[in-house]
This record gives sequence, C-alpha cells and structure tokens, in this order.
Amino acid sequence: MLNVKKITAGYGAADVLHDVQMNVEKGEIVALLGANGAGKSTLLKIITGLLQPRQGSVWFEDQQISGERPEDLLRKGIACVPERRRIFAGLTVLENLQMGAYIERSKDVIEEKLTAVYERFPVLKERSRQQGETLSGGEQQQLAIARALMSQPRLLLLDEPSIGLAPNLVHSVMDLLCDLRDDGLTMLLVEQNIHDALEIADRAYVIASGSIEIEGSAEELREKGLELEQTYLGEIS
Amino acid sequence: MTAELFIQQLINAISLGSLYALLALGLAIVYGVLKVLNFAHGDLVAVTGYIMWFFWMKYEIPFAFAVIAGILGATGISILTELIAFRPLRKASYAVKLISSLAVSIIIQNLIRMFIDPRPRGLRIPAVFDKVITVGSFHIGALSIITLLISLTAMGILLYFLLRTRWGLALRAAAVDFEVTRLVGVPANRTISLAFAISGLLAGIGGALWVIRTGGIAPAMGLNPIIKAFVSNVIGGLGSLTGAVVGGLIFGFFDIFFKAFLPGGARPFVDAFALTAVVIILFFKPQGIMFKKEEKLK
Repeated sequence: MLNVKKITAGYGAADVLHDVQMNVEKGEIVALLGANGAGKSTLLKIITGLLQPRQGSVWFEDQQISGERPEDLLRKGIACVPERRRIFAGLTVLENLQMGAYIERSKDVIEEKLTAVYERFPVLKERSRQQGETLSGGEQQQLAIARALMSQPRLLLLDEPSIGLAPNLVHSVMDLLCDLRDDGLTMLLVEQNIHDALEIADRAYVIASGSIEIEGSAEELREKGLELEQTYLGEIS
Repeated sequence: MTAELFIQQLINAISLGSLYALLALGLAIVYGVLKVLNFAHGDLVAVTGYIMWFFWMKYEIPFAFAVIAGILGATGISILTELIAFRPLRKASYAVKLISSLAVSIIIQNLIRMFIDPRPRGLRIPAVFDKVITVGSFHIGALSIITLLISLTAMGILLYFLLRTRWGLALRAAAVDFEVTRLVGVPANRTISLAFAISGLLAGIGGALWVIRTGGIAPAMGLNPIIKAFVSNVIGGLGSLTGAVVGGLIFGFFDIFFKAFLPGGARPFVDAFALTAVVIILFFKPQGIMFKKEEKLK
C-alpha cells in the first residue's frame, strides 16, 4: 500500500535520512521504532508531504506521491496523528473534529463521520463544546486520533501516540489501534515505546541515525527486545 | 470632572479604542498565521489615504466611493505584499521576513514621495464628520459615533466569519498550529493569502477612519497607526485576536483620558504617559492581558 523507496532527506546541509526503504501492506500495523533524533519524524514529514526528499520516492497504492502537497495526500487517503497530539487549543472539541474533515464539503457527510467518531469516542461527544486544551492527556490523544479519522483515511500515520501518557492510557490507545485495524485501517505506528508497539504491530522496522537497521515480524523483534533497546534505543523508554 | 464630561470622554475613548482595535486585529491576523509582524501594515493606511485623496480631491468622485476605493486598494496591496515579499520567503527565518516587510514599508513610502508628493497634503473632510450631536447636556462628535459604529460592524462581521464559516475556522486553527492545519488538508498559500486580504481590508477601513480623523495624508503617515496597532497587540498579548481588541480599547482609553485630563502643559506628552501606562501593565502581565497559563505548556 505504502512504499518508501531509497529516501534520502534532511534539513540544511545535513542529511537526516539515508536510503530509507520500507513498505506497509494493506490491513497491517507496521511499527517504526527508533530513539529521539533517529529520523522517525522526518520520515513522517516526507510521507505527509510537509518535507520533500532529496532523493528517492514515496508510492501509495502504486502511484508516486512524493512532491505532492499535504492536502492532496489527505484526499488520497493518508492522514496523520502528529506527535504530542497537537490538538487545536482555543478551538472546541467539535471544531477540532470539523477541522479534521476540512477537505469534505458536504455537511451531511461531515455529520455522518461525526456520528461515527462519537460512537467510537463517547467522551468526545460529551465534551464537544469544551475547549480542546481542557481535556485530559488521554482524552486529547483520543481527540487527535478522532480528528485524523474524520478524513476517513485508508492509511493512518501515528507519531508516538503513547508519549506522555500513563501506562493504562497507553494500553487503551494500543487497544484502540487494534480495533481500527480490525475495521480495515492500515497504520504506520512510529514509536520509541517498543514494548507496547511490538505488542500490537504485525511487522516493524528499527531506524537508527537515519538508516533502517533491522526489519522483521513483530514476533522476531519481540524476541530481541532487550538487545534492541540497548543497541538502538539508547535509553529504556 | 463632571459626570457628563466623563461619559463623553468615555464614548470618545471607546470610539478611538475600537479604531486601534481594528488596526491591531489586522496585524494580529497575519501574525497568527505567519508569526511575523508585518511592518508594512501601517503603510496600508497611507495607501488608503492617498487613494481617497486621488479620487476625492483630484477627480472629485463622491467621498463614499473614494473611501471604498481606498479600502479595496489597501486590500489589494496587502495581498500583493504577501505574494511578492512573503511567499518567496516561506522557509526563511523570522528576521528575514521581518526585514522583508520593512522593505515593503520603505518602498511604499518612497513610491509615494517619488510619484505623488514628498510633502503632506490636506484632505477636505465632508462636513457631516465635524457635526456635534447634542443629546440633553451631552455633546458627542459625529466622527466618534461613526468610528464606533463602523469599527463594531467590521469586528462583528469578522467575528461571524471566524466563528461560523469553514475558512474562518481554518484561519483560527492556522493561528494555533500552522503545520497541523496543513496536515488536515488546509492549503497553506490560500490561508495565508486570506489572512493578508482580511488584514488589508481592516487596515483599509481603519485607515479611512484614520484619515478622516487627521484630515491629512503624508508619505510616512503609516508610522503612527502601526505603533498604535503594535502596542495594542502587546498589551492584549501578541497573537491573540481577543487580545488585539482588548489592547486597542485600553490604549484608546489611555490616549483619550490623558488628553482630556492631563494639565495643559503636560498634554504634548500624551504618548509618553500612555506608553508609561503600557509599561506598567506589562510589568504585571508581561505576556499581555489575555495570556492564559495553559499556553505555557505548549
């Protein structure tokens, strides 16, 4: 579904990514694991169209998409839950969700999506008139995911959804991602938290210093758990 | 101070404050999406003034049309400013954009000097603005009432646009987090152009009121309005639209009350007194009056 082919990219003079190669198949959760500064977020910026690669290309459903703008990629079905949630503070929960459906013009369709999202996240319905920043951390993460779902993506990119959440909330986020996979959504899960990510992922890539170092099934990587952590993740997350 | 005098001056203060608020809002909307202060914002007031002068004084086209032409002209120049001076610098640093806006300001002023006149010119203001309305023992200038009504109407329409329309929502979201706004599919260029169009429209409306108030135009006349707009933003909290309005009203209040109630000899220093009052506010609220604690967490 998503193919990242030999991507080299960076900011200014330095390359952050070198020859990165990865793919995500339909219906999978693929984890991209790495420490801070390994290049995970840069790769997401490339896939979402916020940054252009210096070399290489990105393909989505057999179409080359590198070089396209974020709004066009969203229309093709790629949505992103950014790191640290980044909900729109000062906007209500409802307005945050409406922003998620910005590319949709039909009010009926937006209403339908809203109903579906409220069904999955009842707490957001209760709080729909509240300002986004008054929600708790876990609720904000739900809102960030719900906002991305409002565009009805086929591929969802998640940038460290577990960051800053208490362990029980991390589990509920991971459960939610499993539910979404059961409903047919494909996901690329970027994480430092390798235990929880490998718990739910089908396959995983480990990225360090801008290159993919290891790839394999989640099962294989789970067995190497400790070694991975010591070699590539620097610190115990 | 009699109660009548106080109320008269209060109305004047709200009226002038609403004009400052209008100018401050224009600056704040662009700051919201680009996080850059557009120094050329004040020069849009000059653009409005010169277009008004051109149609009204030179070709004697009815005043109302000259005003509308001035407002549209400021809007157009604002959109052009974005295309020429900001769009090519989208990835440049804050300082580069700031200097670019300063360049626009200098270019506008010198184009006026070269092609129109380096000296100030007077503008004949229709008599209706000079009328004094008397209700019982109250005397209020028509200009104060007109300024207040126009500013409030403009702000009301802006509020409706921001709260009730899809583009308005996108503009508010963009002011919070521009990158995520792009991620949810809002085209960056269109949003920024829209911000500049609204900013120019507000500068045009505020500019027309400013010119009517001062009765004259000069190439560097944009300096005073941009200072008022900037200080209003700082009082309210840079980047907050509500803050721009609150700051504008407070600054207008200082201006009028110091002008009205300072002893005669101190009146030439009204600005110094008003700005000292601003310094005192910032001493207690360094991030501006509308700054909320939660925002620190971002």
